[in-house]
Amino acid sequence: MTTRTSTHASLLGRQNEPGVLILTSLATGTKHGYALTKDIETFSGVSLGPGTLYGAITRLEERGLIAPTPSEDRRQPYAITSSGRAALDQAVREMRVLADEGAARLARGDTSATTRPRRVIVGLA
Amino acid sequence: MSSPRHFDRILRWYPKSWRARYGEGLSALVEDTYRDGAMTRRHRRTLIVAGLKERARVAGFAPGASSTNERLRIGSQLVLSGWVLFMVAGAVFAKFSEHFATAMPLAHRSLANASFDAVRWTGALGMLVVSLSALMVLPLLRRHFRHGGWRGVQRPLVRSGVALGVAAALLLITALRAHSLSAHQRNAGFTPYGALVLVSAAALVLALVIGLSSAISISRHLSFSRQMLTTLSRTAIGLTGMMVVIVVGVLTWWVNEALHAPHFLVNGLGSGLPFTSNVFPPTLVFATALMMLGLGLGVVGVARVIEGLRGEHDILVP
Repeated sequence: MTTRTSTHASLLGRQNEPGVLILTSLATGTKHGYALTKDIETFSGVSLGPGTLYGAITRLEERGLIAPTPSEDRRQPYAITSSGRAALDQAVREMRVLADEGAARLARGDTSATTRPRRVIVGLA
Repeated sequence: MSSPRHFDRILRWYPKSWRARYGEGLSALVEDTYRDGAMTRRHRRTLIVAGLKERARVAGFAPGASSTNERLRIGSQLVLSGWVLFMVAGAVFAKFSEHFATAMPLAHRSLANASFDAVRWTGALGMLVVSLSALMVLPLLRRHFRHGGWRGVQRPLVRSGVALGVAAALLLITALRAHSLSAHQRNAGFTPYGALVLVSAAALVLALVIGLSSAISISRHLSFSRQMLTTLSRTAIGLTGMMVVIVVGVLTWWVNEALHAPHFLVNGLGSGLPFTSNVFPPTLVFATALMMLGLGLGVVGVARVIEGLRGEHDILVP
């Protein structure tokens, strides 16, 4: 389950995808499930349920974007791999292009395009 | 927090292989998250849904397999599963439609014959294609044995061998018994023989199911090359096309019979049951339903195969 606390941010969709959130969290270091949910909640305001988190972890590990690291207890920590960093880098670039475009249009006060970007954004989400 | 027993029950919604790999980590996460209170009903529900999704992924019903090769393998297996249903449905249809031409007025016989022939010959072609595909995989199995892989595939092989042997023996006994009976006795006029036919049919269906499950289990141990997977996957697409032809053929035959020889449908194998009084005999409804289910599996399988052949997926979308 994904609880979104920011309705404006959720319009962009991609930045709230569990995969992107997990990779972003792991970019600063190895974390286990509970640490991941807390970190993600702190930096994005998104609360990932255990089922959603582990579903995303499964896919990311299968695709070689994250990898388990040795653990001394039942908590399984994960680390981002080099492929994971590359994938996150690409996702961040894509989001930046969209964010820059949105900011530029808002700054221009281009009212003629107010209905069109919403369609594009919803399509991306 | 939720009791461990309760969480164990929730965890059972996930496939066994998933539980072995991620169960401990998820269990620790749930313990940490609900240390001070019970798990919310909403989180419990999402865990169950996530478990079912994992099961669907493992079975190939949902996209998201780890690699394109895995998608090709799962897709081909789904099509094969669909074909097994067609084999059972085809046998039921063949028995039901015996001597249909004699009941059909001569003027309307050509379409009924054409659709029946389409079903028969497409079915035969499908069996040939499946047999050739199995022959293609045999060298891989031999290589697997040579490298000491016998132990991993021993149980499914023996299981399917025994099931097939029992089914073959029962069919042989049925065939030998049939020779000493009259046409009336063979067609529901002699109860012990009817019971023997039913047992033999059940044994054959069971052997097919066990054989399929063994084939899937064994294929997981074999290392298929991309080229072989591509060939098998294209064959699977062709096989699904044949399923479409068979379904269209059966429906055309059925409509033709209903329009021009409805008494054949009423007096066929499905007659005698309380709810058979029209052109929808239960036997034929059952066979067609099996075919539709098989076709459904085939279509899902083809979707997985196409994903695998294209090799496209959004790497970050779970």
